[in-house]
Amino acid sequence: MRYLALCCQALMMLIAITEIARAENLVVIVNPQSGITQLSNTDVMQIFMGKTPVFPNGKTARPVYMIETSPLRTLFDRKALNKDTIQVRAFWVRMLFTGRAEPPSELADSTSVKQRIAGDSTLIGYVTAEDVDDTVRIVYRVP
Amino acid sequence: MWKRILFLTPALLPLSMPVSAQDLEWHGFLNLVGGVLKNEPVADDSGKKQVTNYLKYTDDFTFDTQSTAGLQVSNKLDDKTSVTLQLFAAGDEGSYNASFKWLYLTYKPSQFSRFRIGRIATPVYYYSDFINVGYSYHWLSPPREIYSLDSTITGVDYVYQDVAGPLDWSLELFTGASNQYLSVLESQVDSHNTIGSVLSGSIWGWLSARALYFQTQTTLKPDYLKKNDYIGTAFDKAIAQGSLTQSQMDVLAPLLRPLVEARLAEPLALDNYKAKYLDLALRADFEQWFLMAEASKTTAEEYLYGHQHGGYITGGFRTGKVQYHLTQSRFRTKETDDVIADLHYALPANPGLEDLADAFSKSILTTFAGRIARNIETTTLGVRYDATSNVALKADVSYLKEAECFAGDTAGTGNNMLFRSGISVIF
Repeated sequence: MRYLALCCQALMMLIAITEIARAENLVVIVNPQSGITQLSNTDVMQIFMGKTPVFPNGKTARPVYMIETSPLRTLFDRKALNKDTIQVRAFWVRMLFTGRAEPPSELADSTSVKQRIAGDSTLIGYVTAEDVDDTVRIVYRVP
Repeated sequence: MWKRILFLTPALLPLSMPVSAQDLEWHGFLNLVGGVLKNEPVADDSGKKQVTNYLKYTDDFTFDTQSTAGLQVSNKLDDKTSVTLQLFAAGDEGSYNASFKWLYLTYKPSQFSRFRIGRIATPVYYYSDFINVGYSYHWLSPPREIYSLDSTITGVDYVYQDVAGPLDWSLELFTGASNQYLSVLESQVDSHNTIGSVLSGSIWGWLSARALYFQTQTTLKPDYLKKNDYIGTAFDKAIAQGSLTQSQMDVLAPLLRPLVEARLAEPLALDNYKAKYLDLALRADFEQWFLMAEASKTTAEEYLYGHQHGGYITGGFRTGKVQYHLTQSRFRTKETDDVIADLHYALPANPGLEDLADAFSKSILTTFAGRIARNIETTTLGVRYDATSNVALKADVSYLKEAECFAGDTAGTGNNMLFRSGISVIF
């Protein structure tokens, strides 16, 4: 019994470490048809905070976020946007109630984000590097 | 006439095409703010020790002073056009009467620009556009030293936004008119020929700034001019102070009253005077802490209202779901030169009827000016707890200090403390 409990704890620690390692490898992706090959941190901040509605090549850019309960969301907001998730939320509340912009869609996980972006060249989102395949293109690696 | 047309245009558009429930986007906010003053305010010339006030709070706890709620619905008509309507209700001493606060059509000629036509918030200060959405800021309410006005205009607003390297910026131009009752002034306010512009921007993702200028022509109809016989009150005060006996006043009053009324007609007309507003704000935002300062100046070409300066500095630190903040704010009215000169009016040795009429009219005007003028300082320490992604709990304590605006101004001077708590919800 004690051996079983120890095995369970070890397994949970392994899962947690794996998740943390995956989360540390966060990348911003776009549809290959967007024409974008690379973005700077400034470009990413400006697009995801609604400061600009277009990519540097002039094509429409619409960000998608992950839901707030996702650890990837917390990490992205902190490392790519230099804000905590509560600050980002308050910002989009202001945009909503002043009619300036609609808050971006929020998706549950990397798979949903990748599928959505693969089908729409105007979207930009973030996933872990391990989830990237040839249906999407990495344009920025979150430090 | 054009104001009515602009106001009704957005409302008529949806009537021309069928709208299903799925086309509408609904959002709302609720701010329940309760507060109590440590001491009941005292603001008269009875000789009692003065205790400053804060809005309409008393020494009984109430939610009816600053609580607000709003329901906003938008309908996207096509890729470039949408209609937005906001229903709004405020505590205002328990009335909670709901009314249309905003009703406007948005047209986006490009991805970088938009027009709004209809009734919109007057974008005077940094938080003016969302002053009633308590969830979007750290306080229970923005400092009253700047945010005493929550007004709307009916007109046109244009915004252009763009980026240039690490800088993102926007320019807003607006024009319109309004006619509304502002409880903070206790007056019906009619403004027209309003024109203004806002330039704002941020750089490196953490430093932002905003500058506003606007001017308007205003006509006020204050309650205090309608409620009392202020000339009779001035006559009674002269008797109480021993300047005149009752029998002397019985003879002089019928002769003095028309002379005093004639002298007060123009300065109390408050008709069509020009007011200019200037506002600057600077903010630094980092992941766990922020710092912000805002300063405003209002200049009115009107005897009673003078120049008004307001400002605050605020900062906060977040740890987990809890944010602590500290704010120091200040508001000061600088009286016009005419008011200062009239304060020191001295009767000649053997005053005639005209001299007495001058003295009474100047006394009444300076009393009104003193009543309107404020010199307030507030220090607020607060906390915000984000309980869920839609609900924030807040509490704060404020130390209020009001000083005289000019020598001999005792109305409303003194100290007090305000304790508030509340909940901000978005849905």
